[in-house]
Amino acid sequence: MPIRYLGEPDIDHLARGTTLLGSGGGGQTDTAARLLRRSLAGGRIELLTSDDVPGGHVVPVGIVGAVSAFTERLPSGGEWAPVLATIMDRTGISPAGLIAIEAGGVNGIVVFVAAVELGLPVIDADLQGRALPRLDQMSVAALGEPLTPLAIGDAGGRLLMLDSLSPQAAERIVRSALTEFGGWAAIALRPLPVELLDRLTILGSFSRALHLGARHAAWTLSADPREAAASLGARILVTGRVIEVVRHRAAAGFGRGSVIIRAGRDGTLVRLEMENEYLLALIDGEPVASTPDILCVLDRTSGLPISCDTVRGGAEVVALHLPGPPFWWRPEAVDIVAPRAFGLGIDPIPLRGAT
Amino acid sequence: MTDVPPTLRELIGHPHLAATPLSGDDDLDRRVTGITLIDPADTGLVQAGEIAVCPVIPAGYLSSWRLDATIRRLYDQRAAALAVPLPGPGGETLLDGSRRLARHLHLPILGISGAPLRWAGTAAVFVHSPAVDAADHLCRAHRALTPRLLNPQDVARALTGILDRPVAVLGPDGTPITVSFELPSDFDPHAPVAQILTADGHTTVAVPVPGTPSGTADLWMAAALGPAPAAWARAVRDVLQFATLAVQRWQATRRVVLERDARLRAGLFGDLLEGRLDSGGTAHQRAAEMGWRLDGWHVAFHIAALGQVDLLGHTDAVVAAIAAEQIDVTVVERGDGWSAWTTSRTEPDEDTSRDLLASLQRIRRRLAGRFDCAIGVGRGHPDTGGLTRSLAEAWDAARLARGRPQTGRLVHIDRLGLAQLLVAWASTETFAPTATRLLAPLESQPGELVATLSTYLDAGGSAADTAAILGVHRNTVAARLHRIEELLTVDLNNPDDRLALHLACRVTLDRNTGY
Repeated sequence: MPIRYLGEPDIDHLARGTTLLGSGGGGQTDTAARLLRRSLAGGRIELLTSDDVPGGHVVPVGIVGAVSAFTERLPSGGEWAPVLATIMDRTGISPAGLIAIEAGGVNGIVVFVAAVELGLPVIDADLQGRALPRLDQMSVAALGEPLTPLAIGDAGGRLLMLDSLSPQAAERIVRSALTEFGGWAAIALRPLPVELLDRLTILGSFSRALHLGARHAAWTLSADPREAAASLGARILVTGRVIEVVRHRAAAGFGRGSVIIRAGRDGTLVRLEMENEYLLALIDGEPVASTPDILCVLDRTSGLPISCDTVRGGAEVVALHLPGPPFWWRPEAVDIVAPRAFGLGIDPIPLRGAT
Repeated sequence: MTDVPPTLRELIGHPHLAATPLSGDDDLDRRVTGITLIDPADTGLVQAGEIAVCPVIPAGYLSSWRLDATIRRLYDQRAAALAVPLPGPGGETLLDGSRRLARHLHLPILGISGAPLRWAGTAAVFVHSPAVDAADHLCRAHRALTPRLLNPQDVARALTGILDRPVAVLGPDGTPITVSFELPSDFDPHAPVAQILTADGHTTVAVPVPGTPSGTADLWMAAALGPAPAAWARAVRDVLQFATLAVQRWQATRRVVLERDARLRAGLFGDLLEGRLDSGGTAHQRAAEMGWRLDGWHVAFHIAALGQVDLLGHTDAVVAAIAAEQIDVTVVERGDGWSAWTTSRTEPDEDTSRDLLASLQRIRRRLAGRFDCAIGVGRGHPDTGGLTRSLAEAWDAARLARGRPQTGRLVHIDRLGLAQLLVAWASTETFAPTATRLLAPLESQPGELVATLSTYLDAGGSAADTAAILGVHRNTVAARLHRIEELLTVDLNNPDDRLALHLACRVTLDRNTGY
């Protein structure tokens, strides 16, 4: 099988696809996409399947923290070398490639920026298959495998290495340390053996992102939204106007919010509950879709995704329901990303007969 | 129970079941068949038509998606409404989206300001056994109205407190007494039965207080309920009907007092008319004790009730009507009505007399809702003897006023000539029938014989003047006079016959134009 490469022409599709996988979260990808375009400088990155790598280990990398801070203070180059060196030093492993911690949103692009910096190929897989807010929501953690040793750091040489800590403890420590790093930091996790990638990761995440991105790029103004949605493998929850957006500032954790969309046709009311991502959809009060499935809000005319941060009242939108990664529907994994993991007291709702 | 279940709007119109519609006023006309308590996280089983009451809600519930999910589940179960504790001022509110959802699914959300469990209990009792609620109100009315003698206004005030709705006492024709109260236009004062009237969704209950001669209402008691369930309206009717007993008790007690006073006054009044109220005598002393003013100048008037009227029952109204004119008088029941007099230090002048007449005309109009009356006014005379005389003049004038609608049935003795007085005396019960019998043969004949005879006698026996007044030929008058002599077997040249016929004509014509 010929080796696949990711070059500049793929960046638009990658950005679109990772944004859709973000389920309304994961951060704005346009800045990261410009950064990647500059880093590549006309070059290309190997995008390998696990079969392409004969053995050895891959290191999960990405960024943690506020994506808004990332946009304000872009990587200057040299963020990932120190954290990777720390992990190599700690484990004595020399990686054969990189794997994204998160394919949804900014992290789906940043892994390629890191790959350019480190001169390593990228594996077509990730640890989330979408965007999720916490370190303990990595597939590895869901299967009871350790995330540590992990290292976070920045180009200024600031570095934090954690070892022998549970994913939950690592999440708490990293979250509280981030302010010292200016809001975001580069991260590298414990290396994963290539032969275990089938079991421990979500395979094909970038193939899916590129595929979604290509279909989304073909979404034209004249297209029937139903056909466009079908081409994405999604079903339309509602087409209508956002009539109300409420954001509750939580005392702890991330701010919660609600978006209410009124269908133009018959006055049906669709409510989306959100945290960093869109998490739950109710049609006329009846829950119809939830995490780990992916919920997207797109501008009705341009088709551009609207994130949880930027959704406003008055917008004419289409809300979509995409199947989430099958990994998260496994009984041993689902609780970690189910609505209850976000404080929504309801069981996860599987996608029924996508249209 | 054959009752139609109350609507939501009616139910929350019950004073103990007040609730605020949080999702707007739409859909409140749904029927309520029961009440069910639900857990905010899990609605459980709710029957169609029931109000699902959430007695306690977790913080943030009203703005959370859970509320929407609850609305939806209740909609699926065809519940009548969702009731939640009403958030306090500044508390959390429903999202606009949830209000819209409630309207979209036609499932109203009610906010309960009191204790929700008590609300639910009261509502359940009311929906399932309204008789219990009615009995509770009757008991409270009983406790409030029986221990003390209350006048009708105080009864109305007590019921206003018990029913938490405006209650008023109204006159026999439905006009409110003391407080403003509007009866709906379909109220019928002539049907002395309890009336439950609903106009524009607002219910008014009116109950008559039966009068002494059965078949008429002395007073009405009415309550304005607003939107109200039928069962509650009937309960209010029962409460009002019970309250009429309290009003009647007050009336009966009052009447005993009135009767006693009236008997006392009548005895004293007889003494006055007989001239036995010499100063220094015991009668004179008793008159002074009763506040009768015997010194100074007196002007008497007599209000004669027309038709069958219960005098004592109306004495209060007569006194009130006179008091409303700011006239300071002594009122005594006498014969067919009430005699009264005003007293002043100096002889009343022309202006005083005119003012009194205007006031009396207004009093007559004021009493018209209760009964029709004729009023006679005497001249001003000084001291006890003068009072007796003025009272006699007022009595005579009232008798004349009966037959004079053209003067508004109000006659001052000054305006009467002596001759008219004589005629008045002639129209007594003994003379009037004789006069009618005397002229009876003329009544059935053609040619206006009574009018011709009367005009001929008034014209001093001139057939020519009579013809001119009546606008007929002189020969016609002569022919008619001839027929009159034949029919009555009288001689018009005989002075005795002429006098008798002239009086008879006057009495008969007065009667025919009178009453």
